[in-house]
Amino acid sequence: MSEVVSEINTLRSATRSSGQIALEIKDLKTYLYTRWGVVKAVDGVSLSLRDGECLGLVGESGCGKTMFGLSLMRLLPRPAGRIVGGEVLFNGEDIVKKSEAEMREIRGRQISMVLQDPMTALDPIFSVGRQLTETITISSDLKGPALLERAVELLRMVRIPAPAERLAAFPFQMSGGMRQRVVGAIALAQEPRILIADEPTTSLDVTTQANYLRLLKSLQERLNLTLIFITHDFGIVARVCHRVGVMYAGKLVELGDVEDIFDNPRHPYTKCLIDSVPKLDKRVTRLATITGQPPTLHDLPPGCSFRPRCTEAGTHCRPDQYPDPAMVGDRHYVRCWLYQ
Amino acid sequence: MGTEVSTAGQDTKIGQSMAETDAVLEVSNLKKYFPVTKGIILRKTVGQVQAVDDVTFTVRRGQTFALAGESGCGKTTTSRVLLRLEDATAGEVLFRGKDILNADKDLVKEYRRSVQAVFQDPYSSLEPRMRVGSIISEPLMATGALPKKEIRVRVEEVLAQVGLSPDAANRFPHEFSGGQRQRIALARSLASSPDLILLDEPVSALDVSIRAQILNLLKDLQDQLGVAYLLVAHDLATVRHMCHSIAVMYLGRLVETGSGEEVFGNPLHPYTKALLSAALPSHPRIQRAEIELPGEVPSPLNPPKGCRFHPRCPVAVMPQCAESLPELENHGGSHAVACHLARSA
Ligand SMILES: Nc1ncnc2c1ncn2[C@@H]1O[C@H](COP(=O)(O)OP(=O)(O)OP(=O)(O)O)[C@@H](O)[C@H]1O
Ligand SMILES: Nc1ncnc2c1ncn2[C@@H]1O[C@H](COP(=O)(O)OP(=O)(O)OP(=O)(O)O)[C@@H](O)[C@H]1O
Ligand code: SF4
Ligand SMILES: [Mg+2]
Ligand SMILES: [Mg+2]
Repeated sequence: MSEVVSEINTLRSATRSSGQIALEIKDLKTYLYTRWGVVKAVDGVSLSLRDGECLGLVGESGCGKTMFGLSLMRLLPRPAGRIVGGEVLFNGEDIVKKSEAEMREIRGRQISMVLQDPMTALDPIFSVGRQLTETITISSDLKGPALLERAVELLRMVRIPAPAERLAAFPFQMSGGMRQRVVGAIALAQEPRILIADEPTTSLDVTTQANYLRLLKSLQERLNLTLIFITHDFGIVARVCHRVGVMYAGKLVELGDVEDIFDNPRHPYTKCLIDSVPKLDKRVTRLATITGQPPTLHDLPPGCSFRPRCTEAGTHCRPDQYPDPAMVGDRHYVRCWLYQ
Repeated sequence: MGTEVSTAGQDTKIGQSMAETDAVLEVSNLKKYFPVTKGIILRKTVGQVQAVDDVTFTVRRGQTFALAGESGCGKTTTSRVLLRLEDATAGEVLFRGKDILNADKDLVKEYRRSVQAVFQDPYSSLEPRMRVGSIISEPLMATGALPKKEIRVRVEEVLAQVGLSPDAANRFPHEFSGGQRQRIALARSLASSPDLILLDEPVSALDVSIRAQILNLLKDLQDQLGVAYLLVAHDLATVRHMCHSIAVMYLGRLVETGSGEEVFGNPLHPYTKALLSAALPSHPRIQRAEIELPGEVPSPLNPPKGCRFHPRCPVAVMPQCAESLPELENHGGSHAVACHLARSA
């Protein structure tokens, strides 16, 4: 058992450190201009990702995870959403500066996203085959039987049983798990380098979820995909991710290698999040809780936005300034006054 | 201590001995079949969805009994029958020893007071146009036991129990967050001082940080009030955290029952083993050997012959697996398993 585990871990770090930088995000700021004010959904997020690396992005509802993913796709809600600062370097070029026409070349082919709700991601009135072939033809000249063959191949890749027969099926004729895999097949149809998966398993059963995660993991390894996995489930992070970023109120408050974050969470918020989940192998009588609610993302005061809920807050937490990232380990940083 | 779960098979009648214990609810051989009809004018029954098939278990005072299993296995249908929202096709449900499926009006009234429910979705389960105070007092009005003034006092009391301030009573559900709404639903269920609360996925619609608050609250209330819970949930870690006893369901049937320690510590049914192996790890260094189940859960309309799990079972090697339906059999203590292989082992 422990040998297998160490093998898995070596495998993980090997992929991590050897890959080329696939995506570099510098001080990204995405704001939403609403009637109630400016929502700072992503407020100065920096990180870089290598080929074949899987980053888990966790945090409570409303902290900006989806807006971060949509920013990389440049698919923000209009007219409210806008990237107001920072860079997203992909192939040496800044995605933020691309025109809409240039983005159409990148979307799907280079960077793809599985949207949060699989029901809205599929069009109910078209067959699965039609939706799949349409996506394939965006970036290839395949026609006729070759096109169908490619569609079947994709369905087979995401392990849909009897894929050739399934082409004619409509979304409602499939189970939740199958729909989820079809959405995955469509996202992978153009062989992107980067895949953003936004909560792709929340509506799935335990065994279906396990199958889907195993599939995603093996595809990622085989295609050397860079994966950004948005979730609120630390179990999923533990199962598939190499690194974890913890988001709170639009900011990345902690980032590190997955083992490191689980062994040594530093930010008070990360600690609470990990301890608040019931665990099969570690029983406690009471769960840790985070009091209060996440703040609304407009009119945030300048200091640490977790302060009103933080059990470790004190005079060290300066009210006038947000704490800068502080390195607390090998490739592990945290934004909290305790470590300044 | 009464963590024992009845393991009676089809032809065993639950007798007096069980009724004398601290059982709140004894469910025996409960069935709920939905007819599947075809045609608009001349409706013809073409089949039966065997949503709940021959389910037997006991919920005890002050304890949590969990029903776990995958989507469509019959958990909600079981609780709906127990709430008398659906008629049972067959079987018996004893509430504190009294037959509830063939009860007279008075007993039904008493049962309605004593058995409450909290559902998954805190957004749709509360009437939006009603003030929180009226929502909470509704079950009390229905039983008509208390005068108005006392009802107001009781509403404040249960609001305090779930950690909300008394002025919440004058507000509307939309003014509250998801976690607060689930507290309101819980307050409503507590108002009539029930003996049993059915909790159908009580935290799965809530945000991570709020789940812990609600789970802690549920445990505290149980300690203080001695209320029993029938918990329906698919997250095994949540079930493990909450339950005293558990039943694992597959396609309408119980495949394994026992105390939390027995079932989680020593799972014997291949389905339970697969389910546990698929549960997400709590640490990246814990990589379980996953047992992969082929195919998808078959439809409870025309369920497979023999053991319902056999087409997907990774260890179904015996000819009986495809031929005869295994009954729950005792494996020591309160642990019972419905599997031919477990029996021969
Ligand atoms: N179309 C929109 N217009 C205005 N504000 C929006 C819009 N969509 C999202 N927001 C706000 O932006 C913030 C970030 O939302 P986002 O969807 O990124 O959160 P999330 O972390 O993905 O949450 P969840 O876990 O619930 O999916 C939230 O405060 C939200 O209220
Ligand atoms: N009114 C109905 N008519 C026909 N079939 C029904 C009806 N209600 C439920 N069923 C079927 O009975 C089976 C059990 O459903 P049930 O809702 O009890 O499952 P569940 O275990 O609660 O699942 P989930 O975890 O998805 O909530 C399903 O196959 C369902 O389709
Ligand atoms: S900066 Fe202060 S308030 Fe914020 S997380 Fe750290 S200790 Fe808590
Ligand atoms: Mg989101
Ligand atoms: Mg249900």
